[in-house]
Amino acid sequence: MFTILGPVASSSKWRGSSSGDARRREDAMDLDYDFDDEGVQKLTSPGEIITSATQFMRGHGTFVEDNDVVASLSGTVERVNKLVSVRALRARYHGEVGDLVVGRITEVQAARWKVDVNSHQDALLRLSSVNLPGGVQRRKLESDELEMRKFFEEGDLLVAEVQPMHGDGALSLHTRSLKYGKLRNGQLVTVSPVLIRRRNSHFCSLPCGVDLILGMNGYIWIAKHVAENQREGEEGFDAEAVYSNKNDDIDMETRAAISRVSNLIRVFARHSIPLTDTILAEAYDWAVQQETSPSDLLRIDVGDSMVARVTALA
Amino acid sequence: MAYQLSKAESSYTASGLLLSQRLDGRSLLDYRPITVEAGVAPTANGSARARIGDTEVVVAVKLDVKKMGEDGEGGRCVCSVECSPSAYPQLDRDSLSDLSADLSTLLSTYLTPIVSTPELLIIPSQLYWQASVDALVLSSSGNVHDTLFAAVRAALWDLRVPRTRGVVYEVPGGGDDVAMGEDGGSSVEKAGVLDHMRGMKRGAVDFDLVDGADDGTPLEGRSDLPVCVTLNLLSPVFYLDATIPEELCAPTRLLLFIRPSGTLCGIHKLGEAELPPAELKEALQEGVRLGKELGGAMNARMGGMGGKRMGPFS
Repeated sequence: MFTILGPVASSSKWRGSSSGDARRREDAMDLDYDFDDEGVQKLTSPGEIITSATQFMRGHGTFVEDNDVVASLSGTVERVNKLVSVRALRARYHGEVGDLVVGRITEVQAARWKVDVNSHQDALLRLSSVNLPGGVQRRKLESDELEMRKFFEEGDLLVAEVQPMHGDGALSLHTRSLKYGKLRNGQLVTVSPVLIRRRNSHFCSLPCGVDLILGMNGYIWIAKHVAENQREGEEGFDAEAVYSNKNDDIDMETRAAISRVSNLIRVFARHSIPLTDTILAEAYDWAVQQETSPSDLLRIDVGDSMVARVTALA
Repeated sequence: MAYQLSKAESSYTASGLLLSQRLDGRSLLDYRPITVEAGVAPTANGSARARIGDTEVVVAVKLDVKKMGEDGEGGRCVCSVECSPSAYPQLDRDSLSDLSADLSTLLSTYLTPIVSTPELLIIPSQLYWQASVDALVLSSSGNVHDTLFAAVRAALWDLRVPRTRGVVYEVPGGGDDVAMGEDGGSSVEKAGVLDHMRGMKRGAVDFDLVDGADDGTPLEGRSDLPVCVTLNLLSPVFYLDATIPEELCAPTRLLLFIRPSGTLCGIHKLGEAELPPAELKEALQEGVRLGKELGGAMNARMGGMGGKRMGPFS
């Protein structure tokens, strides 16, 4: 029953697809750093000269030395007009206003919560930025401050939107929308934030009856599908349901589907493939066709062949 | 601050476990893929890296010559386990060092009977090889104990004890008198070196390395070194190789140390909940059976690597 494997060479080759490489291929950069013959984007290493500083401006991840723009990080080169920057391959989440994030409460403080969002610092969620029971427009009261743990307590997961940040760089969040709030009926998978691209909607429903929330910070919530008309707060705001800690009844098929999707996400993350709902749906179909059980996807060979198959289709 | 689950998450995980449906689709007694690689540290006498899922531990064993204490019993091994902060980003420095200390204590309890073998004696009641066992937890996604002990076991398998022979100083022409201690110091200058057997008989005072430090004798009983199997008990079920959320759901965890021959040689309990004896019996039987299998698989894997020492990147 046990098989113990030998060392595996890291199979994931960086595919140069962290952001919009198609667009950049079109405007054919005249930098030294470009794509090699096979269209695979090259990586910088720290201290490597990228281009001349007389023609280009240095951006994040670079510095100027002896009239050259030099990379200070290992990552991919990005250029906007004359501005050259290096986007690190591995980085913590760098928040931007309007991003959708999934976070976990780490601390309850006076009239605010601290939320772990995989960033350099914990984000802040003010009591005034959440929906309070009794109506969306209600002002916060002193009594609300005393029972903050009724809304969110330590460890709770929530989905929120990033608001303009504080002076010290900490993000501030809000959940003042019926789409946002506490998460239940599912499980969390963490991937590197670079694998999540900005898109129109970060709430996806897969055809297999699973809802996904792709947080820009790399936290992905996978949960049982909730039909559009059954969402809480559709008919007015029901605080009891929104801040509930109890899961619905989840049948075995849904549980299996959730595990399968989470394993697929882990496989894609291991291969550094950006996650979209289409690629996951394709991979899910493949996995069902191959009659692999969810746990088979943990095996490295099955994962590799899944990735080879799905990326060939794409 | 420790990693915390939300109530919804832990109830989702626990109810899944009770239905034998785990978060990643494994069955309750399945392990994630196990990878073991020996000989990763070129300057150590024995070293190994083990990986279970995404939990990774590197272990190096270094032998040093030590003088035996008054009572004839010196500390035969020095264990230190270090948990890298990157493996536990949510822990502060104090709890990280607590965790490291806990693991170090556990490791030295495990190792003491193993390193007290006569094989590690150089000169009886005088000199011995002291094993310094250093483990580094590189990343953690649950089940650190099993990974740590798998790595330690592989490092001990990889360990080569340098061959030595005893040396006797003899006063030239002085017949059978063996010069020992300070008095003989001056007359020892031109001492002859006797062979190993004779030296032992005479009560050797020093030793010589037989050949290069690279080669040596492996530990004799290495194929029967115990493996660690962690049983996570969530009454009435138990499961193996828990991920972090699953570990947080188990009120009690039992570490079983099992020799591949099937002997249970140690139990360590983590967690404060009480154990119902009826459940314990079944859990132990199953645990021993699985430990035997795991140990057999480890032996097959380590034996398959052959006698050759693997380079760090081969």
